[in-house]
Amino acid sequence: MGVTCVSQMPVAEGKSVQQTVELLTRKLEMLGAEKQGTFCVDCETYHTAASTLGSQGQAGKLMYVLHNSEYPLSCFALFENGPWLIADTNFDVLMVKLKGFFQSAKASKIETRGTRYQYCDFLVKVGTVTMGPSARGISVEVRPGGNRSSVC
Amino acid sequence: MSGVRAVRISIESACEKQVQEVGLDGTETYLQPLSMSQNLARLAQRIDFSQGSGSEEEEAAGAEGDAQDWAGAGSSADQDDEEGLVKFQPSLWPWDSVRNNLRSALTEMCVLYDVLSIVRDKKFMTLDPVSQDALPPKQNPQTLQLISKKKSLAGAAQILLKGAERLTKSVTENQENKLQRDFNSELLRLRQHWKLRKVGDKILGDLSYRSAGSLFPHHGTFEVIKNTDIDLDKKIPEDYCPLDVQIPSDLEGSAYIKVSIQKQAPDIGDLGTVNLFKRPLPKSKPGSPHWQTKLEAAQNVLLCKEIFAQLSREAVQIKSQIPHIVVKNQIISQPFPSLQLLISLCHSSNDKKSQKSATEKQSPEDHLYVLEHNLHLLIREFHKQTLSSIMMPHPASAPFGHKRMRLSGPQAFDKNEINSLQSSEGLLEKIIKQAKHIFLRSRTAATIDSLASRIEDPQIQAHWSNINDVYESSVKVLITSQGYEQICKSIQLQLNIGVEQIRVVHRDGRVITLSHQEQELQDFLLSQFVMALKVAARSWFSFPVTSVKIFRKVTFYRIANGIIFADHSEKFSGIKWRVETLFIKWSCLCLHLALAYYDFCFQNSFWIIFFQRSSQKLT
Repeated sequence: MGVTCVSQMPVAEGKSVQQTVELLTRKLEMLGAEKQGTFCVDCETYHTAASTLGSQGQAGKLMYVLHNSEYPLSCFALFENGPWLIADTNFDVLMVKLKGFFQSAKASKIETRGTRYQYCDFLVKVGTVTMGPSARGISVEVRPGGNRSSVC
Repeated sequence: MSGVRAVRISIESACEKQVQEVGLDGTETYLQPLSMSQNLARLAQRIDFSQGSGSEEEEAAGAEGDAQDWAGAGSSADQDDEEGLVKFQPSLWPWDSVRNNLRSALTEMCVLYDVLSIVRDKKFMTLDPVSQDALPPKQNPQTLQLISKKKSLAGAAQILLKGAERLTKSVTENQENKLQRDFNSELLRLRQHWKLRKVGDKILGDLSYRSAGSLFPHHGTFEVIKNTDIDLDKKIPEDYCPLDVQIPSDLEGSAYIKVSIQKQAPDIGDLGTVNLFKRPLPKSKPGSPHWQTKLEAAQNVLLCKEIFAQLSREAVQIKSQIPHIVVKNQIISQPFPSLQLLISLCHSSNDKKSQKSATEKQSPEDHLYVLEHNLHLLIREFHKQTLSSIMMPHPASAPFGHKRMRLSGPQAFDKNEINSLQSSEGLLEKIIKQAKHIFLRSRTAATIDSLASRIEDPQIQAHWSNINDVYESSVKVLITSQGYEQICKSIQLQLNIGVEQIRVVHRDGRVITLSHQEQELQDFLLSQFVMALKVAARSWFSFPVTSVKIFRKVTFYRIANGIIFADHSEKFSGIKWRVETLFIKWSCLCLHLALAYYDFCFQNSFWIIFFQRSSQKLT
């Protein structure tokens, strides 16, 4: 149990995103954290197609579909202020079938990739947030748990 | 009569026309033969209406009856009739008599009809039966019935006998043809045991376990061929079969998996030796045809191959502290240090060549049949699992796989949970665990038995539990001293023999875990022996004195490892004491125990020293 904390790290002045990430990872390694592989979290946006909109012309709802490498067999979907859903990876295939109702905005796919470190009882993930080809920022996730290593 | 010439016989019809008159000049006038209608008329006149009036009249001359039709006769009948009746001339018409007779018959019939109709009303006329004689004895109708029944039964019996004869004929035919069995009937028998399908003009069968859940990629198809090399002129051999099966070449012969535990360290030079030996073929059922034994043997070979392939795959993939060695047809692993577990696939083909070389003697004692059987069971369990309802998706459109894996998506299992789901012990690990347990159990039994045979007092009893697990057995050990069984009841140990450790539970609840070392168990049991002795000796001290015996002399007991002094002083008197020697022969410790005790406080010192390996002092 515990709380997972996700926060955005400010980019160091005068440095690029990549360099800041390297700084952070070096700090962690100096602390004694153990590298345990990579992680990836990505989010795709879908909006309801115009054909399904009523005659009143209400704004189309946005739906986000997320994938997390920590839960490799699952797929998470949620509406902006509405219901959410956890599903199998077949959900992506379903979305393809529902092309008529949901149009994906391919350009707005965001993902964060990086390495995960195990530091005593905590799992620290440092990732670079990219949208398309450009890197937008740095995300850090800290949560208790993970495979505890002997080194502490 | 070949010499006699044939006689000619000429036949002439005798229907000559009658001569009517002979002319003066000799010419004959013949009577014309009667025509058909004339003939008929003539015959009709001859009808004798015996009851009636018809008097025979003379035959009329043929000329009158000429050219008279039936119809003409009918119409002129009435006229002639009346004329005939009035004039009473002999009627010139040949049908007259017939007509008259018929008329009279009609009259009679009408009269009878009138009488019957009057009688039916029963108003003016009744019928009275004429008294008859007593009925003749009833036999007549019964015998008649009997005779008729007999006849009908005989007819039915005839039909049945005919049918039975036909049946017996066909049965005897079958008996004769038993050796010459039909290909199709044999094929039918084959179909009852094995799956067959027709591909083109070939009949193929499936002897693999794929339909039972196996995932082994061997095709396992055999071909059914007709045995046509039979010489019908010669006598058909006893075991002739019109059907023959052709099994794939790599499944020929017989195979089995040999599991053995050996104590020596692995000899690197010996690796790579292929165990070729021929185990006597398992006895097939006496009535089964030869193709059945052949197919069963091939299926067994396939199963052994699958087991070995699975084991070797796991041996290579699984990371363990001491890596397993896979060489040719053997898997060597070390469950315990200085212990070697050998699993080998022994496949002997039926060639004559290999038979010659396979005469080396194999010691059957070290083959653990239990583990071989368990291997078969485990692989069958694995087969069943692939077909079980946990794997088969409900609803049918869901993806294949374990039920919980299907749920892991919607329930967002993380990596640890998924790993815990997927990780299950492979075949090799299970077999190694079972082998370890078997070895540990047999060694524990050997230790207990050796201790029991070496040490005579105290006695050790071991009660082994009948209900065991593949990974756990238990034995209850009681250590008692002769004569002190009731008191030594507290030395009861329950040994739970697991895979790598032995857990000992005392009666008072203490739990001790022993490792797999043999020495540890032996030392522990020996310590329990001493405990038992201690308890027994203590009971002596609390034993009330019942008799008085005075020994004045000093007794020395010489034992192998030392000297026991039993001394007393003469200073006191009136003291009840007794000395008894209690001999406990303990062959390994060579102890003679002499006990002396006083009723009240000890005033004389005496000491009992007995020497044993661990030099314990009993005070």
